Amino acid sequence: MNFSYNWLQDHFDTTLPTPNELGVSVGLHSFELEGTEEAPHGDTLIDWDVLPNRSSDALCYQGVAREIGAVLDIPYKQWSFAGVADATFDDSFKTSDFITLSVDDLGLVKRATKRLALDVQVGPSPTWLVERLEAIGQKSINNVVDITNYVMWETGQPVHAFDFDKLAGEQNTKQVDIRLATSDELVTDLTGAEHVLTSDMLVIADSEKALDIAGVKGGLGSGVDENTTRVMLSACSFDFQNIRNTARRLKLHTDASKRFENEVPLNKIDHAMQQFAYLMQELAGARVSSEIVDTNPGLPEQKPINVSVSTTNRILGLELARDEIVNKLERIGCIVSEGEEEFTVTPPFERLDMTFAGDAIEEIGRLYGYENLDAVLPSEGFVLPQISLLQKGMRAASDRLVALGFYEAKTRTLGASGTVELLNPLTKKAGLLRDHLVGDLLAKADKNLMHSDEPRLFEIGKIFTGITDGVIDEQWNFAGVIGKRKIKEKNKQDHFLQTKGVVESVCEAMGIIDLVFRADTTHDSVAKVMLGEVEIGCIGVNWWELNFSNMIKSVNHTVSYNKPSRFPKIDRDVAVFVPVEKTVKEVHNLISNLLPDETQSCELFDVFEKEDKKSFAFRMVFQSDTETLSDEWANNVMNPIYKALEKEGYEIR
Amino acid sequence: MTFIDVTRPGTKQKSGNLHIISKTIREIEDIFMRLGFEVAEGPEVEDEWHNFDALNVPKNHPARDMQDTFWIKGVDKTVLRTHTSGVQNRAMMAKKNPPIRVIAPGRVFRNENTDATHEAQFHQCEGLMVGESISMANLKGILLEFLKNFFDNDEVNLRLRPGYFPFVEPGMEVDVTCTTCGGNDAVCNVCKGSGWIEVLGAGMVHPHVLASAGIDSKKYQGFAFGMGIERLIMLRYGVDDIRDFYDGDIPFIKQF
Ligand SMILES: [Zn+2]
Repeated sequence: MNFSYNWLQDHFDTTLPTPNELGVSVGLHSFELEGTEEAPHGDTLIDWDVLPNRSSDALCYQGVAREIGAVLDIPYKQWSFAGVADATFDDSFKTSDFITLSVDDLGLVKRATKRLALDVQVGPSPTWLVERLEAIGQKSINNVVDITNYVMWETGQPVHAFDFDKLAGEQNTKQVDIRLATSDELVTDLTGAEHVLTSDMLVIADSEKALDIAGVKGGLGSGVDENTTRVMLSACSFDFQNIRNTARRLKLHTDASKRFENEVPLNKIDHAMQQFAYLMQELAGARVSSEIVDTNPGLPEQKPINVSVSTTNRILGLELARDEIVNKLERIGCIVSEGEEEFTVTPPFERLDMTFAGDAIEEIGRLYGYENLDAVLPSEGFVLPQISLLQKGMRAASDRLVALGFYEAKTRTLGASGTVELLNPLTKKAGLLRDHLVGDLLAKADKNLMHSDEPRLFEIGKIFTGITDGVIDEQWNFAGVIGKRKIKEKNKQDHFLQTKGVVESVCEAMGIIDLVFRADTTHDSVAKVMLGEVEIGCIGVNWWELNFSNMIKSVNHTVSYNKPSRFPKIDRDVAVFVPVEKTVKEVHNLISNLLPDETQSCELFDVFEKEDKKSFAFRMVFQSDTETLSDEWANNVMNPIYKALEKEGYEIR
Repeated sequence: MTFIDVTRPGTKQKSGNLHIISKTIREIEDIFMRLGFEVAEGPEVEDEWHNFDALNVPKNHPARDMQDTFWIKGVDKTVLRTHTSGVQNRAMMAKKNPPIRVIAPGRVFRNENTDATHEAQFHQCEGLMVGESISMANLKGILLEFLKNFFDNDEVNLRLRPGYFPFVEPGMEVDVTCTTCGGNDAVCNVCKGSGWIEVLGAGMVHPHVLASAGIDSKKYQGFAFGMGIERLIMLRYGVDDIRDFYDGDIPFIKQF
């Protein structure tokens, strides 16, 4: 909120620091400083961000002046000019003889007060009032309207002036109701705009019609003009949730509704009425009745809070003495009881935010100054942090991918495909929670073809696959893409092997061993990826998408050490022609079954097709821990293999 | 002897890179792990209780209505988490007894229109430390250690100001020395001449938050803090549009 520096100065006899200095001091101890700017009449505006917890007391000059007094530790004056507190009013007529007030008993009207002013002279406002209002960007209308405006900014309590003679009823007796609107009831506001109300909105009404939208905006028909002589002063308080709903639904956010939405303490009505009536007498020559019609004069009292010196110091990490603590609490208007170690603190009534010891400790801390706290490392409770499997797995997988030339992308969770839906999406295109990652990655890879011939991207992120028994199924997925300009049919096998190699490499880096690929073409894919018998996702020609949560579960970091042999290796190759429909696995199994314990590896190293058959070439490596293997030994191993292959009808090359 | 031209560029090797968000989260994790914090993780779709109630966010708080929060269709009281604070509750529940030192990095969501500084999704890292005597001075101590390490600068200082978050009391905003100008440039476009940049929210954990995790708030106390990852990166490297983080553009990812 923008505060006029000169207006704030009205609350102090001592000269305040410069606007910038004041802005920073209050910024460090109370409300964030958003900036300062020059204003009309040689004034300066200081913009402090008053947060919701302080809206009840500090969206007004009285509240912020109190705050400045506490921060700078200087005396402040509640009233911006003398004479308000001990003002006297007219005993010769009673408000209640003219006005009958009734409110709906639904608890939505927390308090309503009315007061009558006679012999009102409507005219221009004095220069000082015009200057204060213009400095904060408010237009001067006439003295009565300006007074209501001034009182709201001063006290934080919105007030309103009704032209008594415009109310329906007898000349000298009027009925005023604060009630719920009827369905579709119309109210024309001060600016002439018409609003259609619903039956849960509050209105202030005379015996015939709604006059204004309670707590939000005054109506056109009952306002003060140059002919007004009798004024009904009005100050009320409403259920803050109700006003918030009304303002939001009517899209009518006013200075009054902003205050009511944040709950205005009921006692503020007393301050506002006092200043309102006083100014009507001083600036509009009115006679104001000393009697206030009040629906709820029994006011809530602040509950005392238990505070102790030791708790305060324990939370703040300080060693403050009782006197230092009490001094700070009294500066903000608290009443502190007797008691050396423990005492009670009664906050001023405006401070609806202060309800337990933590609130009081905050006041002590910020007035002491957070900048004066030492930075101390904790001396208790060090436990060696555990590294989670997820954290380990993510780091292992992504580090390996980066080494393989992949870039990590982060794509958006909300998009146009998925199964879990938002109730209130920003746009239709972002109304679903993603249920896979690879679609977006493929699109991003395509876009990257302008920068790179073969853009490699991956992502590890959350996906949402459905709803089971009212709970969203959420899991970590892991996807990657090797971008291609064009995938030719004859290159598919090679591309696939490249992709498969990446997945294998990542699994190896993570410590996942039982990886199996099973041919499957259901999702434009080439194979299902299995961990043992558990399906964890699928792989295509140039992409993969796997359930990372499941992968993490199969990580196995146990290492079984084998002492390297001191004896030389010996190797043998075998190449066979087989029918085209035979897989590597079938032939490999046949050979593997006949291999001795000394076998280190048996790997495919060449494949080609020739007419109606294809050739597989395998290389076997043998090594013993106890002796040097001879050619004869190797021949004895290979002979049964050749026989078995021939028996299957394969032609050995 | 063969002439070897050493000025020719080395043969290009395959190279990739982590996303700067992952790199930054790792950096933050590593610093806090050295300070004894564990890294915790939780669901991105949260129930209303974990996202709001357990964190002392009042029933009528504006954050609970449609304006700021994405709600899930077809499931009661379920939201895309608006902060990672729900993880704190789970971590406290899991630990049962302090000492607790945990950070929770992760993706969060706000129902906001997208522009250069706003995204419906972004990343946060929140932290929590609870013990018998964990004070605000300790909060300052831990955060100062973190910021010095993160900005790799021993001269870095921090400044606490009052702030308001329902889950802490007292609550505060944390400013760090402007690393661009060191507070010596009246027209610095990073700190606007103030010498300080707001980087974290923090405070002493509200007793209700401890109680909702079954921790005796008479015996234990502690602090919590939170920071926006993208914001830190934007400040550190001068990235000027938050949307760039999610475009999957290799020239963007490559640079960091
Ligand atoms: Zn700067």
